[in-house]
Amino acid sequence: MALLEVHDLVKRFGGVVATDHASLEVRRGEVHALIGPNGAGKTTLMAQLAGALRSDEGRILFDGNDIAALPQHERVALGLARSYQITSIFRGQFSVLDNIALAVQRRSGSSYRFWKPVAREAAIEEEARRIVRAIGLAGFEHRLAAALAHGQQRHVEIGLAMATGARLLLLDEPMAGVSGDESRAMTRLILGLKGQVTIVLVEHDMEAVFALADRISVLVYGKVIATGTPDEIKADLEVKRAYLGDEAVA
Amino acid sequence: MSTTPLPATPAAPAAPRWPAALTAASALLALLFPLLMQAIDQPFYTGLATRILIFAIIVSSLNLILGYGGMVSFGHAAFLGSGAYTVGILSLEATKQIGLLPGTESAWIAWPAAALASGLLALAIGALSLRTRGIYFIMITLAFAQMLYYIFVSLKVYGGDDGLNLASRSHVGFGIDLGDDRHFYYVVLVLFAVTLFGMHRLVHSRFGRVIEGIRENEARMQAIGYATTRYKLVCFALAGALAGLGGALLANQNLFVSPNMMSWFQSGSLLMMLIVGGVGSLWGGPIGALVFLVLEEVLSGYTQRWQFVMGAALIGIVLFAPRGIVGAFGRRGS
Repeated sequence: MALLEVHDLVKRFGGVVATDHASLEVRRGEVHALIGPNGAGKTTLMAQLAGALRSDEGRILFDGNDIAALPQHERVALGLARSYQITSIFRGQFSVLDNIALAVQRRSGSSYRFWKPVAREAAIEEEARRIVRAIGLAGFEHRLAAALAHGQQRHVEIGLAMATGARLLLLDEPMAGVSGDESRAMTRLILGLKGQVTIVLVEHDMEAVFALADRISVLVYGKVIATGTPDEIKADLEVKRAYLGDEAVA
Repeated sequence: MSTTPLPATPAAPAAPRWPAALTAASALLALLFPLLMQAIDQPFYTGLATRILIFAIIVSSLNLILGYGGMVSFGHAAFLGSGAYTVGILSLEATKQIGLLPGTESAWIAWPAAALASGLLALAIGALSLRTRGIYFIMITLAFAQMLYYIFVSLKVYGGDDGLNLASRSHVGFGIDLGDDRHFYYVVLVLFAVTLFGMHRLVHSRFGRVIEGIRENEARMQAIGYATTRYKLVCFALAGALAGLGGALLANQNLFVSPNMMSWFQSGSLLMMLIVGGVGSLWGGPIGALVFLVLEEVLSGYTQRWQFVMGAALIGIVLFAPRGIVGAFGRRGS
């Protein structure tokens, strides 16, 4: 059974239809890549799935329940979390561990507690340290997140989404702006998540997409025009025309 | 101070630390202050010190929403004023034969009532204001405070423009006479200490982390599952209640309440005190209130145009110590 079903989702900005009756099915446990040319509406669709943007029409079924009307924080509580294309972590005086612990704290009881120091909550810290190790930042726990290298900040970005305890991760261009080495490190990180969580992956780095994806959907002008295995998509001429340009098909 | 070069990715710096000796000396001075002033026959300064402690509480409450929560409120005096008027009105009604309301002069009822009234007012104002961000939030909080100001200006039963005189300070019993400035000083000192300790606990609690997370990155807080507006509203109401308690104390200190207590000028003064002291530092509020009120006292002794000098001092602090006095002395490096 599909973990996520998207039916005829629509988002309009004034007269522009950014998401135009997009439909999609994400199977439990798979890495489902979402590719398409710039301006195809990938980030808009991700924001609609996450709940940061309200959809104008259509249904989003998560585990069989329609979540299209739920606010973002309730979707996170159900187990659906996103990461951002443009790194959006907690800077200022927040260390790497503080970042991750804040996301862990949300799912370990009420945060309307005003007296007990959170630093003494061993359960939160233990879980946060486990995630910091999982994102390859062991030893950096007490570094300021703002002072990390860009590639490491991208790992914190993914770690925040992981730390919500989500069953479905929406990863928006995790390789954005990283070097070749860093891109391979990120690919390993996502490979490590495979099987534990279901992932929707928006990515421009085709090497990473073909290394990671079980299935690929192609988004053009807000519509899903094809879904298939990486081999099927490679072979799909219509995709080549839309995505790679007419010369590539000839 | 440190001779080791700064590492490429610095660790989170420890909280600023004052030398322990300085802390102990300040605490001792605060404890003995009224006795010292009596010994040198300058009881006036006990009143000034009380005023500083009261403003330390009020500015700390503003620090909670502005420094920790990142909500720049330009109407914080509204909550100070509503707390002060709660005490003033209850006291006035107690002296009437047939009042509009049942009055009381008991601090045990009037002061919690002041905090409650201001907290509820903050809940209402916050529920509407927190839908907005940035400059709009500043303007809407200012607008609500000015509305309240004009309501009290036109409320003739409670003195209107002229304000309201209190017959006496609140009653607490247990042999404590708040009419005695020294007794009142110690009661305020205890409330100040409780406030600061409570804030210290709060900013390190789960709730405090959430509030600081919202200040740093509200969109991300929503994306990791927090209903951010609710947390901000609770923070806003808590700060309002604390300012209301401060207002109740100020009404007692002055034996007078007036609409000026909730004017935009007062809100601006509170903001200035916090900026001088250090936004987002636990001691920012108290140090700001201390420096601001002492400067005001000293300067106004020399010239009626003391605000001119004060303005210049403020510009200097903002330019050369953008993190305030606590920020300038509290941290090493950078």
